[in-house]
Order: sequence, then structure tokens, then C-alpha cells
Amino acid sequence: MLLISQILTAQTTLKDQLMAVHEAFGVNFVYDSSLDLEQIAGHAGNDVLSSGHSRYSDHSGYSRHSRPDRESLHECLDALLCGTGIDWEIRKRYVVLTGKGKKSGYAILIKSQVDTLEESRITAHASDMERRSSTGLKRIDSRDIDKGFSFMSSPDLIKTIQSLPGVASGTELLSGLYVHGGDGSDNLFLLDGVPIYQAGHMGGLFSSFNPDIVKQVDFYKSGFPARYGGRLSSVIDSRSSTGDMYEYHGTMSIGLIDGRVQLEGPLVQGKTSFNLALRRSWLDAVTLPAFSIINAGKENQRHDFRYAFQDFNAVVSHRFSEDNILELKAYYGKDNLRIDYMVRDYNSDIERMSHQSSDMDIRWGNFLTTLVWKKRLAEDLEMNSALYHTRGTSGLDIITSSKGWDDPVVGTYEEDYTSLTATSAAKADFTYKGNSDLLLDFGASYQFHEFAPERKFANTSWRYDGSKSQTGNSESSYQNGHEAAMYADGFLRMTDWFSVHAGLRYVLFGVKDKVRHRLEPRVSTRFDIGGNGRLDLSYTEMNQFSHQISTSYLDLPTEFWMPSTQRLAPMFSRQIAAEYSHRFPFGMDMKLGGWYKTMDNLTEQWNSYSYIPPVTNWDQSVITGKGRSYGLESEVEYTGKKLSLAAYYTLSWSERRFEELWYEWYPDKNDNRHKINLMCSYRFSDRFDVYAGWNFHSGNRVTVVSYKDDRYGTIIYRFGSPNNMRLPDYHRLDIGLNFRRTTRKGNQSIWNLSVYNAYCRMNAMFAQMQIFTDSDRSVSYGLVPIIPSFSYTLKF
Amino acid sequence: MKRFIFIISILIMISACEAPLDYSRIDSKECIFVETLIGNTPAAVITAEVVIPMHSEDYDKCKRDVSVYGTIGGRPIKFIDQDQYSQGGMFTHEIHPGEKIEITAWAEGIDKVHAETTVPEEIRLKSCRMTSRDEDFITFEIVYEEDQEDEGFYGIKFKDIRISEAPGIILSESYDMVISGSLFGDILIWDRHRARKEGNTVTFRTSVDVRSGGKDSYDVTLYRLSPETFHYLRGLYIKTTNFPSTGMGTPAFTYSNIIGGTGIAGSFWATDTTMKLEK
Repeated sequence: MLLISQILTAQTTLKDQLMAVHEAFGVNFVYDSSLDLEQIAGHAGNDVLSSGHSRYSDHSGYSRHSRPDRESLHECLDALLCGTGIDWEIRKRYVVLTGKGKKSGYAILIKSQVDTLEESRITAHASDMERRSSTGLKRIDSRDIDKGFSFMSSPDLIKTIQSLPGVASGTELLSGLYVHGGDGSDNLFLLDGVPIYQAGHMGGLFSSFNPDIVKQVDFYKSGFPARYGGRLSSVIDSRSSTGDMYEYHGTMSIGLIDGRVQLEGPLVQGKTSFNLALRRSWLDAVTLPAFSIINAGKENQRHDFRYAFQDFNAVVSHRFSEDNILELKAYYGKDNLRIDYMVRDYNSDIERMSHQSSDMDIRWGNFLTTLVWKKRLAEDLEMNSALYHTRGTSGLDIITSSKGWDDPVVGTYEEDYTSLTATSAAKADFTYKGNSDLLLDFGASYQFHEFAPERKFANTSWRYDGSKSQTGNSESSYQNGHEAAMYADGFLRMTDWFSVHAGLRYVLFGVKDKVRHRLEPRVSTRFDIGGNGRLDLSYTEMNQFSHQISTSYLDLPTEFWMPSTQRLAPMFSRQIAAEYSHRFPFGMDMKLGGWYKTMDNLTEQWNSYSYIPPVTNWDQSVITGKGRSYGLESEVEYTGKKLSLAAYYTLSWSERRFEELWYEWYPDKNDNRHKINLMCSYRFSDRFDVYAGWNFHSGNRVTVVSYKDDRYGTIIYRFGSPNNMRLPDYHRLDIGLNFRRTTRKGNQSIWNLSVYNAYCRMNAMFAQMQIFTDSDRSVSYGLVPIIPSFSYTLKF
Repeated sequence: MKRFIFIISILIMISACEAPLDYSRIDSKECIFVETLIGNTPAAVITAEVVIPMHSEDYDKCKRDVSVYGTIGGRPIKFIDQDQYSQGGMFTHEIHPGEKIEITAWAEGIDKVHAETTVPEEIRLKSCRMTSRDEDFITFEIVYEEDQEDEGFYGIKFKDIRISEAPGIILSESYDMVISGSLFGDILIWDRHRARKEGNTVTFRTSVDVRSGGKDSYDVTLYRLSPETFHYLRGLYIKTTNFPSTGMGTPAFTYSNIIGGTGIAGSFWATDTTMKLEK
């Protein structure tokens, strides 16, 4: 009660006072946009405004909360708005404010309403994070994602992370994350604490994280806390929103390619809530009838193309008490691509039919579910335990059939490929908060991994005499692995200006013929410099016991995961990082950092000439090598009332050394020397805001012929080192416009118009050198032009 | 809106998706190229040349003399009709398994290059037989011995006929590599991952297209390759396939053990035998 009184005493405008009422009562305000809330002085005194308050925070950050009673809110609003000429009306969780003059529309006071209890938890957690955080952490909440560029109608988490310093994005449009020189398969994607194996839809065009349900994401690229392990280069820890415990509301959106629906609300008022989000692309709804029309009336021709992705998130949360919460969370995502064609041709001279057909069906996806129990065991000890199962699957079926006019046989080729990667696990994490100078995290986990790729094919030939011959084969692997880990991670403030954050993670990983164990130290120190500056230094070691077996950078569904084995050692990285951050008084934050990272036992596919990697003997089909990366990264961010600016710059080197490829260090494919991202958003009014982002990086690298000589009168071409040519610099401008409208009921509708690559630069995606008899030429290919898109979103 | 759509359409149409690349983007400077594959044959050739970057047109630089010095098991290589310091060329030699071959080359104004390879042992052949054949394809099996910890590299060449891969008969054959136009001619190579090893016995089984040459017996040469020779041949194979050359595959196109330059100094041990159809 005292806290709110203090807040209100300091408020001088009506807007500030309404914000304080929002804090106290958990209500939001929808107001006539002709009202100038900044200019109108509030009337309320502390005695009135504090009357309905029933929320406070304890020292540990856990909040106590109960809903305000409606009568108190009435009294409060009466006192506050009396004599201002503003009428008010309570509609569920909104208070509608209207002026006397002409109405030009409605605006909403709190742009992103969240459950106040959850908000307080986040605030408390953020405070802990602020104290403990080391180098390389970026916290992204749903508002940050919403503020970003909406490609093809929806903002995307991975594309937001791609813009951050120290992260290379790889092939344009795809969801590649090459963090501090990593290889893309070394990022730990966590959805509600559960690993997700395929983080992209549509070949990486969209990420698997539905922006409607993502509450916040912690992205680490160095200074990893000891509770994370299993990947070398980054952690993307995404948390879903729990549903509103008191009111039903949601979001509907339809865009150029996909549609989304999200709905949340109470199952039992104040006790149990749900939050559901469904997303589906509807490209197939266009192509299916289109190809039906194209194929109509053509007996000897048939073409079909269908692609669809869908995902579904569900969160059910039950509060036994404020300190005892049970949550059930699930995610299901699937992509399906089908390409069919058939062509028949009748030769009347010989009275025979030729025939060619191909049916290809590719599917991939994830399923995960987790049961989470959060409980405060003592005043200073919290527990967060979970059981979960996660699986990534993919499959490819191809049937081709052909027969020429003169062929005596009809040949059919069938190929089936499937892969499964699954993990079942139990874990328990504990946090002990001794006092403001001591925090201790500790916990343990056990994971059971399964890896099962399989490939089959059959060649069948039918002869005119009816005889049939068939050849075929299949190969499969099944491996399982056991991974047990325990960790302890402590934060200790030694003096006013110096803190230490030290952790240790012990991992035991076993497969059929080999058991390995590793100890991973994680240490960071923090120096507070002056009032607003701080310097963080960190050292971390990470091991990765799962390897992505792939033959390209394209996120193909034919890739699969396999464990470290007797022959194939786990990947290992060491990283030191330093970061100086400074908070300026006028809303500007600045960070300047650097890192040096080494990686061992990285893999490259030995058989890169097949689109399906070998299913058996896969650990013998890769070669291992080293990587190193170093660089500088900087961030400057400004957030004002209307204007937000962000500028990121990275200067980096990323190199590889595979003895079986080249005798010395050579540049990595994503060795982008310079990377610049400039982002600006401006809110002209409550009804209109714009976004612009300019992205630049030095070109990716490809391998072409290096040398030539004509000693004998003919030019002979010779190869040199891998990745020996840098593609032209990449840059593009993205623009987004949001037209917002708030209805009297508090619903908000948003028309989004986005233009990707606004000046239509055909950035080189790959390159090829063509050598002719008497000349040669090297060309790059750009595939992505300007892409406009739009979406309509309704928040209710 | 119509104007907007029109402008976007024009922009898409005028934007070319293919653009020439400037060769100066390639990381290269003039250096020495060395190529030699030395085996248990009576003679071998070392080629050593100056190569220039792709963006250079100064071909006169390629005509500079390159000096080569080499040893096999510590014994200097004597080039035929030339001094020991020469531009390379043919030489006669005698080699033994396990011997180290070292080659150094230099030219005026260019960094000295150096390479090493160790002569592999002879394949410990147990059997080499054809298990089936039709008009175009033959299936054969080679059984040999290898120490438990050994991971050898091998090749087979059919004398007097050209061969190519026969993909699709056995799944694992889709990983077969037949390299055409190498110093060996058409050679099929394999390594640890393609063969089945049980104890010390290794079995390699595959099919090749013999291009209407269906016979009951073939004269073949079996090779035990040094790792450098295998990696080089594999690099030659991969750079001729389309998929990785787009820049989206792994960068496994090239191999060189010429430190400071480019090219290959490899070794092998060849064994002649006859492959007969098992009836």
C-alpha cells in the first residue's frame, strides 16, 4: 500500500496516474484518442488511489497478488476523473475513457497487456538476471519481437536474432544462426526448457516459434550459465506465455502466406488458465484449385504442388497457490511438401504410349510436451522441475516411373527415407537466494536420446510379357544415448564494484560402446564502473554430444542427428569474452564487446555429393577439424516515447582447419568481416507507426578455381584453398508500416504492410565458375527480389 | 494501389538475378603448383609450375623456371637428362613401403613450397572376384586384410576399358567415386566408410558400368593409396559434381598438401591381378 502511495505522489499527469491505477488494479485503459492525457493534471490524492490496492512484492521478488474489488476501482476512478470532462465506463478488464468533443478513434494505454502477476515475476527475474548476467546475453520479449520487421506477415524470432551483433545469418531468408563463428548446428533451441530439433518451417523461411505465444527469449552467445549445456555456440531459451487467469482474449491474424489464431483465458477463475496458439500456412489452398484448373481436361498431363506448414502450442497452467504452480505445455509442428507430375504421350505411328511420372512427398516436424512444477520450498529456496519428451521427425518418399515408346519395360524407382531424433528427460533446477549478495543455482538432469535414420529403395521393372524383376535395399541405424548432468552456479558480490559468477557443469554421456564425461567451467566477473558503466569478463567451456549429419547449408529434411560415438568425439568449445556496457541518462544504452573462441571436433560431411547423408557408418563418413572465431561487436540503442533506434556493428573473423581438406586455416563459409544493422521505428500516433531496417554484411564465401597457367599454350585451371572467394557485399532495406485502430471494446486491429528488400537488390546467394574451351566466367546468382506482404491482425 | 503494383512489377523485371563476379575477390597470389603421384612403378613425373591468380593476365610469369629438389627415403631424386635441381620432369626410382618422400620447389620471387608423403604398404589381397555381370554392369568383391587400427585408402582401375559408377543397385553405392581424367585414368576409389571390416578382414563390394564390355574376366590394378592421394582424387571427384559447386554444400572441393602453394604430392602401391567371374 505504501508503495503505490509513493508512486502516485510522484505522478503529475493524468497518464501517469492512469498507469498507477493500472499497476494497482490490473486494468487497462481504452481512451478517446482526442484526449491529451499528458496535459491534464490528475486530481486524485493518495488516500483515494491507494484504497483498492492489493498487490505488493516481497524482498525476493515473488509477488503476492489478489484481484482488486470493483467498488474500490469505481471510487478511485470517480475521484481521479471528477471535473476533467472525461466520462468513464468499466468493460471487463478495460476502462473506456471518452471526452466531450468529436471522437477520432480510440487508443489503448498499455500496448501489451500481460497478466500482472506474470509481469511481476518477470520483473523479479529480470532483476536477478541483471545482477547475474555476464557477457553475451540479450533478452528479447514479445514487444521486441512485435517491434521488428514482419516478413510475410508475421514477426519472426530467429530473424530478430539474426540481426544481432556476433550472429551471421548464412543463406538469405533461411533461419541460419552462425553465432560467433559456429556452424549452425550448435545452437541450443529451447522451447519452455525443452530442446527443439527443427527450428524452422518452409526450409527455414519461418521459425518454429509462434510470435503470438512467445513471452520472452534469452539469447546467449557467450558467458553461458552452467544450467545450459549440450551445444557449442548459443542458447535460445524461449518461454511461452501462460494464459490470463481472469479474462478471455486472443489474437487473430491473416497474412500473405499464413494465418494465426491465439486464445487464452481461465479454466477456473484465478486458478487455472489455458493459452492456445495455432498457425497454418494456406499456400496449398491456392495451389490446389489452381492446379485443378490447370490439369482440367488434360488426360495426359498432371501437375500438382502443395506445401503447408502448421504448428500448435498449448499451455495449461494451474496455481495451487502463489508459490506452487503446475504447467502442462505442448508443441506440435509439421511441414509437408508434395510435388507430383505425370506426362503421357501417344505415338500413333507405332501405337504406343510413353509415360513419365514422379510423386515426391517430404514431411518434417517436431513434437514436444513438458510437465513443469514450480514450487517455493522455503522462503529462500525455489524449485523448478520438469518431465519432458521431444522428438524431431522427417521423411521423404519418392516414386518415379518412366517408359519410352520403344522401351520393353516400365521402370519404377521408389525411395523412402525417415529419421527420428527423440529425447525423454527429467530435470530439477533449484535457486537459493541467500541475500542480495548471494545467489546460487543448482540442479541435475537425465536425458535419454534416440536417433533412428532409415533409408529404403526399390527398383521395379515390368516387362510386356508380364514378368517383373525387383531390386532393393534398405539401411538403418538405431542409436541411443544417456546423458546425465549436474551443475552449480553461484553469484557472489564481493564488494560494491566487483562480483563473481562461477559455475561448474558435469556431464556424463554414454552410447553403446563408449562412455564419456566432461567438466565444464563457467566463470565470469563483473566490475561496476562509475554509476552507469560495467565491465564483464567471461570464460566458458561447452561440449556437444549430438552431431547434425547434413550435406548442405539448406536445412533439408534429409538431415538427421546422431550421437558422439567411439570414433566420433564430442564437439568442444572454449570462449573468452569481454563486454563493457554503459547506460546513458537519456534513454540510450551502449555495449562494446569482444570474443575469442576455439572449437574442436567440428564435422564436415565426407560425402557431400549426395543429398542424403549415409545412414550407416555415418560416423565414418564425416571428417573432423577445428574452428576459431574472434571479433568485436557493439550495440547502441535508444528508446524514446516515439522514436526507437538501434545500431549494431560486428567486426569478426571465422576460420576452419580440416587437415583432410587443406593444410592450413581457411575462411569459414560465413566469415562475414563486417556486419551492420540499423533499425528505426517511429510512432507518429497511436494509429500509425513505421519501421525501417537496413542490413549489411560482407559477402559469404564460396569455393571457385583459384589459379591458372598457360605454360604450354593452353590455359589450365588449378584449385586453391576452400572458401576462397567472397561474394559481393550483402545489403537490403526492409520497411514496415502498421495502421492501428482501437475499438470502444478495447479490441485492436492492425493492418501491416511490409516490404522486404525494398530497393530490390539481388544479393548473391551462391556462385559458380563456368569454364569454356577458350574462356571462363564466374557468376553469382541472386534469387530474392523485393517482396511486399501484408497482414491483418485483430487483438481482442 | 495499381501504380504500386506496376512499380513493383517493373522492379522485379529489371532486376537481373545473375551477375558476373570480379576475379579479384578470389584470395590468391602467384604460387607454385606441384603435381606428382609416386608409386611402385619404374618411373614417375613431377610437374612444377608457377600459377597466377585468376584476375591476372600476366601469363609471362607462368614461364618462370621452377627448381625442384626431392628425396625418397632420404635418397635424392635424379631427373632424367637433368641436374638434380631442375624444373621437375621424369625420374626413375625405387621405393619401399613406409619410406618418406619429400619435395621442395622454388622460383624467383615466389615462396618456397614443400610437401611430404609416405609410401603406403601393398594391399594384402585375399581375393578379387566378379560375382555377377550383365551387358553393362558387373558386380565384384575385393577381400583384403588390414590391421585393426589401420584405415586404408584404396582404388581399382580396369585396364583397357573405361568405367563409370552404377548408382542405384546398392544403396551404399550412391557414395561410390569414379574419377575420370586423373593421372590414373578412370579409377574407382574407396575408404573406410565404404568397406565392411570384420576383425582384420575387409570386404569391398560394388558394381560398375563397364559400358557394354561384358566379359568373364578383367585385368585390373588394385591400389593402396596414401591419404594425400585419396583426398586429392576425392577433391577432383567432388568438384565435378553440381550440387556442392553451387556454394551451398560443404566446402570439400579442394585438397592440397603443397605447403605454401597448391597441388599434390602423393604416393601409392599398385598390384596387378585378374578379376574373374565366379561361376
